[in-house]
Amino acid sequence: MRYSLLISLLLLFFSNNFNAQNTTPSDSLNNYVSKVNNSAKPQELLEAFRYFNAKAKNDQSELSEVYHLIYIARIQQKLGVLQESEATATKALQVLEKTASSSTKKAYQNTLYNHLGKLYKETGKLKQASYFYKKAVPNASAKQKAILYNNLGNIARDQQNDSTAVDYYTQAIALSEQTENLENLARARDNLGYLFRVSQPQRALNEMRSALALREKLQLKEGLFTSYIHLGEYYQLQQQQQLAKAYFIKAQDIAEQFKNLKYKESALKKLVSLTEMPLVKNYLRVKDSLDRLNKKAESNYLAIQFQLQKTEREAALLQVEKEKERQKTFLFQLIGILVFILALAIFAYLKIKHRKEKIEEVFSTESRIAKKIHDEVANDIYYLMAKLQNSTYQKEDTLDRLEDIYHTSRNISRENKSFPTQENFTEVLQEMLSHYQTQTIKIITKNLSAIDWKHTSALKKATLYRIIQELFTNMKKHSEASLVLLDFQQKGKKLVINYTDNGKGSELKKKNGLVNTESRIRAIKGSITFETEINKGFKVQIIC
Amino acid sequence: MYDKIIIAEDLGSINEGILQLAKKLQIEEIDQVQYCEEAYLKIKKAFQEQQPYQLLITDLSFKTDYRPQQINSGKELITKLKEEHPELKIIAYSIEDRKAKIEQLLKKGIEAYVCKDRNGLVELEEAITQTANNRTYLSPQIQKIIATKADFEIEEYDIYLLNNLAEGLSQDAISKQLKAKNISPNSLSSVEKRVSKLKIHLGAKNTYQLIALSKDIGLI
Repeated sequence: MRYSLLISLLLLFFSNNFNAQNTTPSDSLNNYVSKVNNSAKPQELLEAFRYFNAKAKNDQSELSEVYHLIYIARIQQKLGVLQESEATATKALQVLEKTASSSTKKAYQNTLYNHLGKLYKETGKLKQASYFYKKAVPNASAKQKAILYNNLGNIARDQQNDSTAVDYYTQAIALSEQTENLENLARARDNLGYLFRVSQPQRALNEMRSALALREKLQLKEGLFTSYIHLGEYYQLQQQQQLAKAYFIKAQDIAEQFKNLKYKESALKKLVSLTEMPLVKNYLRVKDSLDRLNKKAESNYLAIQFQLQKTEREAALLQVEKEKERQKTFLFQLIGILVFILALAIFAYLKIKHRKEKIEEVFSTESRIAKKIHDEVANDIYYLMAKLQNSTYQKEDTLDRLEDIYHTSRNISRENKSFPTQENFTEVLQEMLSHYQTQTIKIITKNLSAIDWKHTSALKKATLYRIIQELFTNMKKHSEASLVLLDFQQKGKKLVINYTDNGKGSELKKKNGLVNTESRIRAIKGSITFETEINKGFKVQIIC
Repeated sequence: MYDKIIIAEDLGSINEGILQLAKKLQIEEIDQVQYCEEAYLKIKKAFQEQQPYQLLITDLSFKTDYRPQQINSGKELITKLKEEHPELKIIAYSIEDRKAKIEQLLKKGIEAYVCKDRNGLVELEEAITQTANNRTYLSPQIQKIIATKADFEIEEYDIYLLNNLAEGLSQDAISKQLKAKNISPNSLSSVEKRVSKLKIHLGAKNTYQLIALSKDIGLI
């Protein structure tokens, strides 16, 4: 009880000090800060917790995050979840580590050290408590140092290390005198006196009295209460029951003024403890154990409630994460579907385009063949029929004409027939060229047999076949050439074919067949160039 | 002369012509079919019954119809039959006059190739007679096609000759130069032979025209 009193006093001191550093707190912040400092109601504390937790999550600056974490740690301490509080404080310290050094940083660090000290003291880890209090010392003001020494003294006393405790209290007294802080001075003297109550009763009484005098002068009610209790205990120890009773009654009076039940209870308890009745003594013992159990249960309840909140929080967080994940997945799916649709659209477009081109090609081929049949076959047959009506026409002549027509139609068929791409392409080309070779038209090839067609695609071969065929048909019809050179060259992956004839050439007006060669070569990503002038022959270069 | 022959031809009028011809040649048993597959089955059956056909006269291209066929062309029919019954004589009778095609068929072992032409039936009669006497036959124009080299492929050596002729060197001087450079053939006679060959293939009457033509088509 004594210690928790001291602690709460300390807490008040530090938190007040600490609040001053926050320059523009909002109304709700003030509200919650006061709740953390003053309220012990779990519901209010949990509300405050929620508020600070939300704040800490959205903090932009690390310092403000630490500020909120400190409050969270305090709430957790008040709720009795000391391990959580420890974790929060440690996290706050880690966050603080990352910030640039500043006076605020040092103040926060000290606050956290102090907080951890208190936590460890509360959980009985006195060594750690003293470690953190000591850590807080170097950066503390003289006034704060006095308080820290007091605390360190209390720890040393609890550790049965009286001489160390005396040292700390003495330092606290010296510092308090130096800073003329009478409140701290009174506390230190009171503690020192209380420590001596067994070993040096006289000195103990002196110290406690001087503390009491100071406190009476300053009218420090909490301090007075502690002093009265301490003095009462002292006299109880000295077997001076009357004096002890007098001090306990004084303490009770102050508790009345506080209207604080806890103070009242502890004063009354002291008073009752003066009685010799075994029944009462027995009752007190039982009540003490019961209180301890209750306290434990209470803190357990708080801890459970806190854990519950935490689980709910985590569940909510998980829900949010899941939702985010779901949205993300949905987005990806959407993108995927869009890409797929786009790909499909492009594919469909290309297919339609390709089909259209193919249909156009078929149409143009059909109309070309139709025209040929009309021009070359039908006309000749008509001519022959006209001749036959003239009865003087001889049988042999008729047969000759018929044979011509037969050959013409056979050539049309040959020109439009598909050719076997899987066969030796050099031979296929030679075969085709041989049909253009006559007594008057000489065809010379260069390098044809050196070309390796193994890696040439069937489409490329078919295209080349048709283009070369077209060139030679054109040559036969229009050029009056007597000599043609077809020169093949392999240049890297590209095949270069040069066609040259010594015909009469022409103005470069592309005729039907030659236009076809251009669309054909484009389909295999090749190129075709025509070069001609009247009486200068005809030159074509195919690159593919 | 043959006693039993089979004709695979899908055009009725041609079929009729061949039939008349066979009758004229006094062949006793003449069967006519319009599909390759049918021809194949009949021939196989005849062999099984030990009354085999002695000759098959077949076209190369057949019209396709609704019936799916195992054998779709004269070439496939010939290939199969020549593998299974090499003793059956075959005359191909077609408008096909492509050298490579015909050479392939000859490799399969057919006895005759007759071109459907103005003189087709006359030639076919000759083919039947010749094959009956264990000889082979080719239509005259087919013989020509087989014999001629399709085109003339010019070589670096030719270009070298042409370039030197264009420079004004005599064939004798070119021969000497070739010897000096250790390029063969380098004798005067081989140079002369080559130059005259070039004249033929380029259609030149003399060396001057040969050079002019070579320049025209960019050989030099």
